[in-house]
Amino acid sequence: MSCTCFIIPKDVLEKLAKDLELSEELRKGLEHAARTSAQLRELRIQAAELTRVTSAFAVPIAALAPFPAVTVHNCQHHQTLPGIPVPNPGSSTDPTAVRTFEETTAVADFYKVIFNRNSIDGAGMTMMSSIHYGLKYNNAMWNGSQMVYGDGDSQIFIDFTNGNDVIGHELTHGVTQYTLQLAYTNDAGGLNESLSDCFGSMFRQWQANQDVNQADWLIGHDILGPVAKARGYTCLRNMANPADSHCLAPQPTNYSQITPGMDPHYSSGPPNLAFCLACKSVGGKSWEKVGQIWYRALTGSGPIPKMKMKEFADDTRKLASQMYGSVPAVATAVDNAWKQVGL
Amino acid sequence: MDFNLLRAEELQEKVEKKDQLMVERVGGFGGFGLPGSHLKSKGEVSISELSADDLQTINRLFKGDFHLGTAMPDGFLYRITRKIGDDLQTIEVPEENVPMAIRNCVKDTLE
Repeated sequence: MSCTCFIIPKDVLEKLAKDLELSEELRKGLEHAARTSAQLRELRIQAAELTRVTSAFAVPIAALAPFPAVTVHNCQHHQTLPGIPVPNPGSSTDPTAVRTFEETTAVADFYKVIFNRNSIDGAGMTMMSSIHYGLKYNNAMWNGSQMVYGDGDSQIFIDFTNGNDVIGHELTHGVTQYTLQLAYTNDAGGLNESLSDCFGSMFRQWQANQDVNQADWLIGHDILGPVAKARGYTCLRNMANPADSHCLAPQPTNYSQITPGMDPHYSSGPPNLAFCLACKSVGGKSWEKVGQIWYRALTGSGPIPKMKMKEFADDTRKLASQMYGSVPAVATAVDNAWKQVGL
Repeated sequence: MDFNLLRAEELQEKVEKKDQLMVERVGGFGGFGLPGSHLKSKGEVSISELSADDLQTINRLFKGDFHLGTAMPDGFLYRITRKIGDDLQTIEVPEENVPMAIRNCVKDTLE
């Protein structure tokens, strides 16, 4: 029964557990499953908290695996996680499962090859994804221990796994959880979102082998549905021009426009623009120099949950000088980029 | 035009007239309901049509009895408004705390 109940939402389980037309044994089982579901949710929240506390004091002694395992679960349009495991997702008949497996594996490759990082936690953590979450669900998220993808409503959005930047974005939330451990409010929240956009975009450019001028710097371009496209929208966000009227959710371009309490998807505009400007000024591939600086700023200092955007900007300025001292144009590009967005 | 005033009046009218919970889903990867965003997600639920369990959950949420914890990156928030006496009460709750009947009442639109 546990396998079946796993995909039934908690409130449905609770309702069924009170249904006197069902046998007492079955009702007890359903009640247990409902409790388990709630406990799993609490465990997930605690896992995220635990990451925060333990990684502040401990360094992984040994990697779990030299390369992370990649697993895919199918929520079958329910909203209870993780759903049913997809056996051999790489050769599944479900294109969403295949795509999720292949792109998640590619993100693991990207982090390994470009940044010498072994998975989300740096120690080979299994990369777990749940697909077909909810019904016509217009979202993707990182829930503290795994990725979650909706199918989209086929109008405004299509299947969120169609965006390799989306997959890179969500996995980077995991990396942030294990490194800077940024909060999800105010400056830290905006930085958290921006880092996911930066690494999601870099991953998209890396897969297409694009240099900074070939890249379109759009976030969510590949998940827009027919209704959104018909109205002339091209993306969710544009890192090169956050205020672009072709974005479904335009953003501010200068830090002076940011006020406390703003949603992270809004306040990430200025740091997104700074990253793009620095990359364009340096030239070449985004992950070769500026990406390396951003990665060191993300992973090199330990947890700073309430980090201000100015602190992050200053860290990248210092790192640019340290890492590319022989090429002063890099530090100048980084400095100018932050200045242009008011930081 | 005072947008906040207009919004408050609109909410007041709807909640008084229909005894409804007004629901708006915000945030997510796409940035629903943000300033300047063309993505909206709104709905209404009749309080009288909620199950006893859901009503109990809603009352608990309005008392602030839910785990805000570490906000889930890209997770949705639900902005729920109800009328108590002469006052409008609005809460913002992470999706995982919201009963399915409330989650399902919203419709995503492009404005």
